[in-house]
Order: sequence, then C-alpha cells, then structure tokens
Amino acid sequence: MSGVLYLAWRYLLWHRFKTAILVLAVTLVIYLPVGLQLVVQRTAADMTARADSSPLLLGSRGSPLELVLNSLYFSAGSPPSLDYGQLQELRDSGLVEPIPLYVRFHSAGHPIVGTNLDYFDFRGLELSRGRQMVGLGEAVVGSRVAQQLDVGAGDAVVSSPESVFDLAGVYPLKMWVVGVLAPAFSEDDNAIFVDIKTAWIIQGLGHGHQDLARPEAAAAVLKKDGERIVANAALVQYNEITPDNSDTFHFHGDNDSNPLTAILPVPHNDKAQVLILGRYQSHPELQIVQPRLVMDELLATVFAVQRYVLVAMVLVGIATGAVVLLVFLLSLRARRAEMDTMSRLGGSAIAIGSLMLAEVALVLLASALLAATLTGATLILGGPLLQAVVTQ
Amino acid sequence: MIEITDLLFKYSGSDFALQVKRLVIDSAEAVAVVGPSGSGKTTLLNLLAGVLLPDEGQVRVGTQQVSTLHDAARRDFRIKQLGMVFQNFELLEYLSVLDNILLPLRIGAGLKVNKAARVRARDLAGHVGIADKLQRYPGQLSQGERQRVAVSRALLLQPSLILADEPTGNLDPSNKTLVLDLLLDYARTHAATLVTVTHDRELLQRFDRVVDFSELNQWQGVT
Amino acid sequence: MRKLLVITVLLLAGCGVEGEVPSTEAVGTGVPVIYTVNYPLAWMAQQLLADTAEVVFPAPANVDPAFWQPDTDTVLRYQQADLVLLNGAGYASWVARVSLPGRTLIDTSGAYPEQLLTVPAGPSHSHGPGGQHSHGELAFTTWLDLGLARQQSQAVSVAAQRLLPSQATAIEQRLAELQRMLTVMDERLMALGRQLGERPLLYSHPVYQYLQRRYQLNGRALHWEPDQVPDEAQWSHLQGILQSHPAQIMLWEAQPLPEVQVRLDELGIKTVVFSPMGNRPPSGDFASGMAANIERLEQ
Repeated sequence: MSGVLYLAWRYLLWHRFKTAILVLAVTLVIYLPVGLQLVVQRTAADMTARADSSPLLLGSRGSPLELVLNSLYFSAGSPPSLDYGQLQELRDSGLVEPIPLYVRFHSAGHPIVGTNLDYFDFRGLELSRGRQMVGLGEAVVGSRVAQQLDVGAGDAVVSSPESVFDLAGVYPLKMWVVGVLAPAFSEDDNAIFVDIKTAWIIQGLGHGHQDLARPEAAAAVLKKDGERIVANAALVQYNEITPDNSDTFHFHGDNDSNPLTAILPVPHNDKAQVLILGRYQSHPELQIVQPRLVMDELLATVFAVQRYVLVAMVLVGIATGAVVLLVFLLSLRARRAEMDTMSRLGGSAIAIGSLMLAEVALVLLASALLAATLTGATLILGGPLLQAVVTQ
Repeated sequence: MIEITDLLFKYSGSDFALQVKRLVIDSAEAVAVVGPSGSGKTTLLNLLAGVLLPDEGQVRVGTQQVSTLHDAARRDFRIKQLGMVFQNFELLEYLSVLDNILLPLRIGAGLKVNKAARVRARDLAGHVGIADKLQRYPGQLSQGERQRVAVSRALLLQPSLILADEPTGNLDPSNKTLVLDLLLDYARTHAATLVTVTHDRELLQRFDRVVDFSELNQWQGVT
Repeated sequence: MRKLLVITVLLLAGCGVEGEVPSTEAVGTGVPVIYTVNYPLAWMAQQLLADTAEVVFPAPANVDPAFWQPDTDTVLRYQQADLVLLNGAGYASWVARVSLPGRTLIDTSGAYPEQLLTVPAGPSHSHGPGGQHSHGELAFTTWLDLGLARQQSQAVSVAAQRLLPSQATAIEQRLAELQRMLTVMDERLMALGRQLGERPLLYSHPVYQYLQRRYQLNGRALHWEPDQVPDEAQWSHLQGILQSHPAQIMLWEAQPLPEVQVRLDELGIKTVVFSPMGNRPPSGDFASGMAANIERLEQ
C-alpha cells in the first residue's frame, strides 16, 4: 500500500497545478459550510453568554437592539441618552445595584466606556498590570487594547474627536493609562475604561481651566463686574488632567442631568428583577430590556440567513463534487495506457485499482487538513469579525 | 523452457486469429521473432506473458502453465519472473528515472522498495550508462536513455524470461546496438530466455534463433 | 518578652477613650471596613457599630477634611472599603474627582436635599455657552444642625444594617442612644439660640450656616484664620461691619492668636471657640467636643 501511496503522491506532485485546484475546490466545499456553522455557533454562544451575564438594561426609549449592542458590545452608534439622575432613583428602589454606562467616544478605534468601579466587579475583570483608576483622566484598558496600541501603565491614549468641524464640542482628551486588564475573552478586552465623569469631560460637560480670579489669568478675562468674571477665548482650558490641574476640573450644573447611554441594573434577586421590570415596563421615556431576549431575536435572523447560505453552499458543494468526480474520471480515461502498462508489467489489480483511490484519498486528506486549519483560523479570527459585522 | 501447444487465440469481434500448433523455446535461448506488421507477434508475447489467455491450447513457461493461471497468479508470474520491454518504452512521466526502475516493486503484490532494491536499481542504471540521470524525468531523456531505463526496469527483479517487443524500433543505430547488447548480455550472464520481436534484420544474426511469423495462423517451432 | 509586648499592645489598643476613632486601619481583621470623609460620620459609625466593623477616617489630624486631597494609595483604600460614608452637600470636593464604587457610597445628606443651604462661595465666572456659574455652591457643615445630624446618623444606621443584617437589632438600639445624645445637645442649642435671640454675632469663617439656621442665630461671617493676624484692611472691614452689626461675640473654629484676641477684646468682642469638628478633636470625641462648644457659648 505504501508503494501505491507513493505513486499517488508523485502523480499529484507532478500535476501540482491540477492538484492545487482540486484541493482548493474540495477544501472550500468542506470548509465553507463547516466554518460558517462553527463561526456562527461560536459567535452566537459568545454573544449569548454576554447577554446572559447582563440580566437587564435601562435606556431611553428607542431601539432595544441599538441599546443592547451599544451597551454590551460597545458598538458605534449611541442610543438616545438618559439622565444620570435615574441611577439614584434605581438605587433608591432597593431592588438593584445600578451601573452607569456612557459608550459614545473612541480612541484609535477602541470604544471608551465611561462607567464606575462596580462594572469591574460585575464583569469579574481583574488587573494584570498597574492599578485601578483613581482620578479623573485615568484609564484602564483591556488586554487587546494594550496589545494593539502597545500601551501600558504610564502611557497615554487620546480620545478621537467626533467631528473635525465640531471645534466647540467634543475635543480630544489625553488620558493616562494606569492599569491593564487581564484577558476576559469578551468585548471588554477591546475597551478603554474611564470613570463616567471623565467621559463627561471628553464631551465638554466638565473642564478644567485657569483660575480666573488669579493674576496669571488676567489675559483671559474679557470683563469683570464685581464678583462676575467673563472669560475670553484666551482662557486656557486643559485637554489633559494631571495632578497639578486636576483640582481645577469641575462640572457645570447638576450631574443628575448629565447623560448616560445606558444603566446596567443588577437585580439583588429574581424577585427584584421581576419588580424592576414591571416598574419600568410602561415608562413613557425609558425602556428596560432583557438583553438575552433581544439577542435571541437578532440571532434568529442570523440563523435564518445561515440556513439559506448553507443550502446554497450544499448545492455548490454538490456541483463541485460532480466536477471533481468528472476530473477524476477524465484522468482515469487519460491514464488508461499507464494502467495498461502497469498491468502488463504484472502490477497487482488491487494496486493498480487503488492508485486512483489513493490519489482521491490524498486530495481529500490535504483538503481536510487545509479545511481544518482554515476552520481553526476562522474560529479565532472569524468570531470577532462576524460579531463586529452583526453588532455594527 | 517455453512451450506452446495447439494454441488458438481469437480477438473478439475480429476475424484475426492466432493458431500455433507447437512452439518450443529452450531455456537461456535468445530468439528473435520476425514477421509482417499485424501478423500477431505482439499477441504472441502477450500470450506468453499471460496478459491474454488462449481460447484453446496451452502455454507453459518453465513450470508454470500460464494459460491456466488465474489473473492474480499471472500478474505475480509476470512481475517476478518476466521482464518486459516495449517499443514505446512506456515509462511513467511523473516518476524519476530511479522511481521508474523501481516501479515493479511498488505495484507488485507483496513487494516493496527496500535498501537492497535501491542499490540494485542504481547498479543497473550504472550498468546501462544512466547512473548520472537517476533524478531526471523521462521527458528530460533521449530516446536511447529512456529505453535503457525501461531495460533496467525489466531487469530489476532478475527475471528468467525477457519479452521485448520491438525494443529498438524507435532508436537510432547506435542505441539499437546498445540496447540489444544489454538484453543479450543479461540473457547470457543470467541464463535467461530472451524472446524479442523485431523488424531490424541487421540484428537478427545476434540471436540464437530467428522465428519467422510470416505465415498466417501457422506457426511451427523448429525444434 | 514577646508575650509582654503582645499584652502591652492589646492593652494600649483597648485604652482609647470611648468613641475615639483610630486614624489608621487594622489589616486583615476580618470585619467590614467603613471609610468616612469626616470625623462626625466616623464618630457616628463607631457609635453604631462598636467593634463589629472597622471605621477608618484617614485624613491627617492637622488638615481640614473638606479641602483635604487624599493621595492615590488612600483613594485605593477607599475603593476597597465595604462602605464609604459621604457627608453630601459637596463636602470633600475630592470625591467628585475620583473613582469610587457606587454600591459602597452612602450620601448621608441624600435624604434631605431641600434642606441644604446654598452659598456664594467666591467669584462666579462664565465662559463658552455654559453661562454663569461659580465653583462650590452648597454649605457643607451639615452636622452642626443637630437635627440634620440625627438624619445623617439615621442614614448611617440604614447602611450599617444593610452591611451587617445580623447586627440590625443592636444597631437600632445604639442608634436610639446616639440620637438621644444628639437630641440633648440639640435642645441645649435651641435654648441657647432663644437666649441669644437677635443679638448680633460674628463668625471667623463661613462654616456656621447650618448652626445659624437651626438655632436662629444672627451672625455674619468673616474670612479670618485662627493662626493668622488679620491685616489692617481686614480690621477695617470688621469695623465697617460693626457699624451695622454691633456684634459682641465672635465664634472661632479654633483658638485665635493672643494678639488677635486682645484686639478683639478692645473692640468689645468676646472670643468663643466653637469647633466645627470636621476633624477629630485633640481629646474626647464628637459628643464631648460639642458639649464643650455649647458650654463655651453658654458662658
């Protein structure tokens, strides 16, 4: 048998172009449906796990899917905002521990998640390097962010402006990385976490500037009327929070009216969950959703599309199989003289008959190995890619 | 010894038939078979090799009643006891010279390539003058070199009977002589029987006996 | 020798005046850890929880906790606490600039926002589209209104019972005793307020807003520091105030310099130390400190 395999191997190698095409065709026939199935299943499992771990979400009335995608998967496109004051109302209910989320800004393509320290405990996120954020302007980054941006404790990240033309609005804020999270194998690995107040500073709701009452700021004073001071454009506003200027940072007005994109209410128990659901079910301005149900709906659509694609792939696979079979049959006919020679030389009928089968087997083996490799690579890379497609 | 007795072979769907009353070839005899094209010379070789089975009569090679063996036994007989050389060389284009020589060991039942076989193949290649071309492919060889590869393949398992069908038909004069020399030299040194179909009248004198196949359906071996 | 050392340590540990709050935390005691932003809250927590929790108020003794800025390591320890008691009303502005877990924060003034006093805290300014605003808008020495202090202690009690449900009954009992103490002091101050009536008072610093409102005092605030001699402009400013507000008593956060006291005496103004007690007193506790405040004012 080894002789036959050797001959089959030499034949395939000799006709390497034909062999490559055959292997590629069979690989695709195997890989595409299998790979698609695995990727969809894996993605669905990951997204479902994420949704399962987040029992409830509270947001402004609008698209539940947009709320879930932005809050759990940090997709671009923020839902309508709700007031920070809702957080205390939820806390006062005694039913949940609410966690604020403000996912609107980005830095070098990574989402900036404004939240509080409760988020880390809720998600079980641990630090691998550095420390937890303490003050305004500090950030803790996910493991993939650290890897891709090559940042660690002591490095800086800068928020991206929302629009080049919106000079008076969201402007870049330089934030100092103080810690790197251990891999969580979730969207949290791709995120930059800041305190919710830092996110508001990015938005321009809070800022730090020279003390206008001090002599050094005289150039920035437009006019002074008793205790009222109006500043001019020369006022130096800080785009970076440092230990030297952190105490100048402040917010205007009541923080309760500052925006959030969502609140993660963590119920104390099942009964509390039911009660809080009932309380907000018919709220005129807010919506409370169960992420798992929303994701099930989305994934049902994905599965439906997948079924159609699989049917198409099976049909293509059958056609490809027929073509491959034709190629082998034509090859068999073309090699009849060769078979005849071997027969006349005294080659065993089994050996000669096995030669074509050995070639088929080698092609199938190579295809299977290549398909397995592609499937493995797809599982690693395709899951996040598909999830990005689904969530964006 | 080869012995054919009352042989009748008919090609299906054809009027052609081969009828040989009796033919005897002694062991270690070098016999040339001559005759017009289409007279059945190749058929005779195929009957001797057991590739074809006669409709009537017997074919005996040595102790083997080839005409009564089943297919597997005939193949086994061919691969281990026969060496076959063809006019068109019939090498496998996708195998190197060395692999072509070793081909019988890869397709023969119960045979396999081992170190001794490789050594013998190299020796044969050296003997026929192609030792430096072992890694080349048939497409890279001249006609004469290809036939020498085919001869080496035929002699790999030290057959007791060599059947050569127009082995020099496609060769130039110098290569004709070279190839025939190889076959005759092997036959003499190994006491092997050589049956060669040839059109080359110039080479006939080098054989022990010339058998004329000119009469249709009539063959009488001269004993 | 080692045994003697251990015994000595144990004795010293038990030797504190009742209610004294340790300024350094014990490590690995296995009980919940509660951090506070000022001394009154630490005292309340200590009163309610006794030895069932570790109460930590980490500000150094020589700083005003309202303006103290903890370092990074201290904030990290706040983050690890099981409860962080905030005064509310903007007290300890550093809280607004750090990250603390929401679930551990207790705003002890959160239940009565309508009772918080707003004050102009300095020059207001405007820039950009935000309009007029000033930095620091609420008076924050809420505990000087002992009625509000009772409410703060109630908030501390609720948080403590949630943290240690097994101690709920004991906490309730201690709360009753604590509130009784606060009520006694509250009534004394009420009586004192009635006694003082409309008599004009002066305050060395604007930290007595809640005291003034609760006990119907008639005071005006300066910006004088106990450890500094006012300049002539400040003395002139005082003279101007006395024209329309002839105060004869001035409440100080701490004992002023002798020369200042002498000059005030010359103006007919008596110095009375009424410590706001934002930080721990040199001796005694909040209750004894407030009692001493009241006595001095009564005199």
